[in-house]
Amino acid sequence: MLGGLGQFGIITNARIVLESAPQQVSEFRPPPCEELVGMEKLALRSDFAGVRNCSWQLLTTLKLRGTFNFAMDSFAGCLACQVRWIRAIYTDFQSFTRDQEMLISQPSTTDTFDYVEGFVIINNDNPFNGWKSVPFAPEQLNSSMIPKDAGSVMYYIELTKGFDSIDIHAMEQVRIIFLRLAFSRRILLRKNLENENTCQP
Amino acid sequence: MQKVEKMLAPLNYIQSLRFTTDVSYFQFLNRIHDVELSLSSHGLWDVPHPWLNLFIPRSSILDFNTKVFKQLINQDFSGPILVYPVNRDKYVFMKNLLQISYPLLHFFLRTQLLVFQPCRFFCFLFDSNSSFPCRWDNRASAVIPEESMFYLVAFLRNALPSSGPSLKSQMDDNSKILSMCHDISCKQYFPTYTNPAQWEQHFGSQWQNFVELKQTFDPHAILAPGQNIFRRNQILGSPS
Repeated sequence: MLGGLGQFGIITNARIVLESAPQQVSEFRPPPCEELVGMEKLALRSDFAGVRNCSWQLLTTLKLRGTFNFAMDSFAGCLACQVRWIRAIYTDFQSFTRDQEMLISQPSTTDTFDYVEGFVIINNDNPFNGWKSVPFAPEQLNSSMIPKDAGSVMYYIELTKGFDSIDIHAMEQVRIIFLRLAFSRRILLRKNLENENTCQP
Repeated sequence: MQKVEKMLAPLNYIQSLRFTTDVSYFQFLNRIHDVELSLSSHGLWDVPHPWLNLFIPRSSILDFNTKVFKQLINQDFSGPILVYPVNRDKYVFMKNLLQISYPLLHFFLRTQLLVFQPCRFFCFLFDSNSSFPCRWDNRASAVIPEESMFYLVAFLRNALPSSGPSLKSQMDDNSKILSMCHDISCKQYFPTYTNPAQWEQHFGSQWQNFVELKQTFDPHAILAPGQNIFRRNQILGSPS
């Protein structure tokens, strides 16, 4: 029926099959008890604004609630499913198609890309279909980088591979938090020696 | 990400012309929206889209490159051109197409398409009951080349009101490309024909099956007479 040019019926209802995203938000394993106390201390510090960029929910939560469990839920927001997105230019059509065919013919037992597409681009600096449309940031490509033997058109393959990861920016922010925590932990440990019951669940 | 580097290693792209970024899964799915915003800001969104979508047999794609991409695509061509292979019989990774269909659905709804040719709706032609990767669903009526692998080529042009080639000249270009396609047995998705004989030629070996489906589901040929495939009240099975 599909592709039936309206010859066989009128669609009045449709069921669209959804599939879950290939990568899910990771579970966050709570840090050891003393780190939690460190985070609480950190949350109470006035210079906390410097790390606000890492999962603002986490920081807000810590600030407002100071409740560890709740904070941990928010922390999961720092972990996100990411897509590595690649574009690679060819001047030779035969190499371009050979690679595309190889990419869609691999057995499912091997690692394969999640998405493969191809484009023809015009050999000019048009931002929508020239070589300028390929890089993710315009400054990554200029006319001097285009091979001299390139013809009137070029080609590019677009690929993606999903991966489970901490958002890189957020990860850096988390690292900063933990650096500070390390400092706090020393205080904490010393404090623990003084008072064994500091860290109650 | 070493895994990705390993997967890229056998590819023969120009090493200095590879670009990589990491985005969230949602950002990737929603990427056409960013294109929409960019095109809209340049007045390039709400314009006619004389699109042309073709299925090219694998054996003809190099020829197609020489005769069409290299010779007919001018510097002032406006809009993206897609080229990628699809497996007909073998298992194919239709997940890829599904990922792009939703933003494009939005795109189709938003643009007043002069010729409504939703190139990326092919995902619905595939067997959605089987788990991914799935294969071409042969019950679909869309006509594809006989070969086990074929290429999708989409000229997603837009006609700008103030600059570039006129709508008329773009449609003439499309006709020129289509006329070259006759020699290489490619199939258009969806074609516009004016008489049943042309449709019969388009469907080729699938024609009889298409007629039988019509007999079953719309024996009086009430639906969509404007496609010029069947005439109302004709006796089906012997299209004139």
